[in-house]
Amino acid sequence: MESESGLLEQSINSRYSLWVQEALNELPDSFTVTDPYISGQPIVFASKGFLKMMGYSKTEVIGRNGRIFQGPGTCRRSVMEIREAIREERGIQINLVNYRRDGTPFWMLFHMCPVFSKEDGRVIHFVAVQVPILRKPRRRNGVGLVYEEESRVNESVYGSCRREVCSDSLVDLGSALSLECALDDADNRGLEIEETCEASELEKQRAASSMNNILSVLTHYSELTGRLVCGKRCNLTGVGLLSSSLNISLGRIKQSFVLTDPHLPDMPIVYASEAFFKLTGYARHEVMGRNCRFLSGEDTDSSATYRIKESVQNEKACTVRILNYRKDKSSFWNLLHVSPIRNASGKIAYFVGVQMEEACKNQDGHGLSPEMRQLSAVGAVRIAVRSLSMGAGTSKS
Amino acid sequence: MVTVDQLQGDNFSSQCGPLSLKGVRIPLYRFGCNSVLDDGCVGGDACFSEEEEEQSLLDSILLAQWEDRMWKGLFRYDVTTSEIKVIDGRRKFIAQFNEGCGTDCIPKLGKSKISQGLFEFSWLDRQEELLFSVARGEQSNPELVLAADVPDSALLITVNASPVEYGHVFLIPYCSNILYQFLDAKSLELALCVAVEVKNYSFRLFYDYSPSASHIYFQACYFQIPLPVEFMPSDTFFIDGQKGMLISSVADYPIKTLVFESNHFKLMLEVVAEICSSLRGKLILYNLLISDHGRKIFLFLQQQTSKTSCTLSAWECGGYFLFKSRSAFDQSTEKNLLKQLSTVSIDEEGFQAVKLLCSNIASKFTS
Repeated sequence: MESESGLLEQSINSRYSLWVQEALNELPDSFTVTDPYISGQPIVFASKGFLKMMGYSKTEVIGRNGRIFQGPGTCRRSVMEIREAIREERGIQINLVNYRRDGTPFWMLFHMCPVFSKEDGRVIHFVAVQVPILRKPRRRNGVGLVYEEESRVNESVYGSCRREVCSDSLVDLGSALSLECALDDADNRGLEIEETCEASELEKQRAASSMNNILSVLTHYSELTGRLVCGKRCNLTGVGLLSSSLNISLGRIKQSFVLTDPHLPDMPIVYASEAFFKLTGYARHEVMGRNCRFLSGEDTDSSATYRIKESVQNEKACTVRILNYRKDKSSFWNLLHVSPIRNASGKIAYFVGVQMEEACKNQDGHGLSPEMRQLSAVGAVRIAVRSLSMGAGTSKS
Repeated sequence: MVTVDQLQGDNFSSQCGPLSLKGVRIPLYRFGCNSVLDDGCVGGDACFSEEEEEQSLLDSILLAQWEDRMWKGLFRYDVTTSEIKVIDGRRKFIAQFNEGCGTDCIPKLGKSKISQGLFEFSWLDRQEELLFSVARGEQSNPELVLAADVPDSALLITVNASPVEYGHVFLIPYCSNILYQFLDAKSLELALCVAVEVKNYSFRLFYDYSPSASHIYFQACYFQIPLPVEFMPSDTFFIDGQKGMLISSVADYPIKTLVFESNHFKLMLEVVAEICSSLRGKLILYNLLISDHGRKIFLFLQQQTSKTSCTLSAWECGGYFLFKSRSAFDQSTEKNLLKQLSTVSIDEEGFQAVKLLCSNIASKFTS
């Protein structure tokens, strides 16, 4: 099984070779690279410029999600728009309030682009360039809202650490910013941050040209591994590949489960959760693309496997007690729940199989029974897949 | 039909049919007493860095209980078999083709439960529809009791047998055999607590005000993508920097809509509850949509006239429409839906009056 830090490092190195980190660090820009196929969409690379600007060390940032830089002053709608851009696998340029390690907020132009695999068209990484916006009060903000007043916030609030902002007596002032909003002019004490801020053309160009430089480095180094990437989506040819957004949604689900694709020959596994690897001892590359039967062994009751087969054929859910085997050949009783999962067209897109080790049945999870956790995983998978391939055929602006 | 005037005699609740939950033991979820509502602020580091990383306890219970009832066949149909699509156009309205739902206007609220479009309390003959209850707790962390009596001042969570989306439930404020007749800060607070603690971006809460309803209830379900109204730009007209409260009007949207944002839940819910109570007094129909972990409350304003044959539900106001027939689904256009929304909306004059009312009430609470 891959260790977590190994997984993060491999994300970059296996795609762009070992030398890419050095080349990326030679770029003066401030940017991060995230991997949507690792649970939690963690940062797998952060440039020197980014670390310097944010005041973090490399180890504090790698493996974390980009939302750690957001705070009470970050506009919720902008966060939603970024989330939607990730879901739709498209680029976005938006003004955003981020927080340095010492708790100071600042406006920056956030420019994010997906990086696609040339081979199968899926998203490999997201690159996010951050360009600090020089203070220039404007009446419009990045998402087109118009406010009449200018905002200033007491410096002492934002000079303090964020935890303190929350608990100290100035809490009211601090949270006011969360609304990307203006404060009464009467309250002005010391100039800190504008409620709205628009990047200049120059800053927008800077972000775009940084992005081009990064993409060309990534493209160049991907040639070394033969696993080419590009900044524009090529035709999605990879069958059985899950979109990056579905991976992100599924990554939240902590139970052991797999998704199999009934439209592909022999119903291969197209997704397996971290807990599945932990339970079975297999690594990702050892299970993806394979039919689940490798979990069975010589003492597995064929009537159990038959019941699973039957429920798949009838497109019905079932729960089966089945003897399964780990990679090390040790066996365990698996209370397996299998159910069809439908997409936006209402058709079956996958089958989910949620494993539950019988021996761990009494394990307590905040009062939730293992059966309830199993069903909650099924529910969460249904919601994640429900909007899949929605709006196909409609134009996306 | 009971008129509003008749109802106003009582302050906030009244007896409405004998509702005895004696001997009924269902799972009980207790909020931790360190709830964000008590802190008054969601600006904590933890809120921003750890949120969404995994399912919350309340999210897991809700999904598990719902999936369990689906497995037991309690629903009139499997809502995940119904097709959904985005309608071409700038607003990206969402349409669902659902033969099982009630009318195109108001989704049916369940078997033998529809009486003038209202939810009736006839579920006790089918206790499985009752999923669990939610109430305040004394422990610092939230806890789940697998079988307990329903305590006072709780929310009863029941399934909607005709779901509009996955996880569709009713949340019914309940207090010692009494159901609430009017929305007040107390019941809104419980509902908001649920939105906060489910901690799932897909989770959305709704409230439809109906003058003829015998008691109040919220509804909730999971929408994987935000509702169209959430993407609309807005103009802020009330700002309170000290208390961190914003009221804006949604721009470029066919139904007059306000949005409340605050990191101080307590303040926001008190303001919203007071506004709702004033709207009731003024015979203005409204709906609430709560999204973004309870940080945003949308208020849709509908007019009450004899011409309006039916009012819209909160998800319809938010831009999510159900179609019973294939042809209506296929032929739905943004233009038609815009018209449907603008027809029920209050007019500009009324809207200005509501905005003024909101500013006045909010100033009263924040000053």
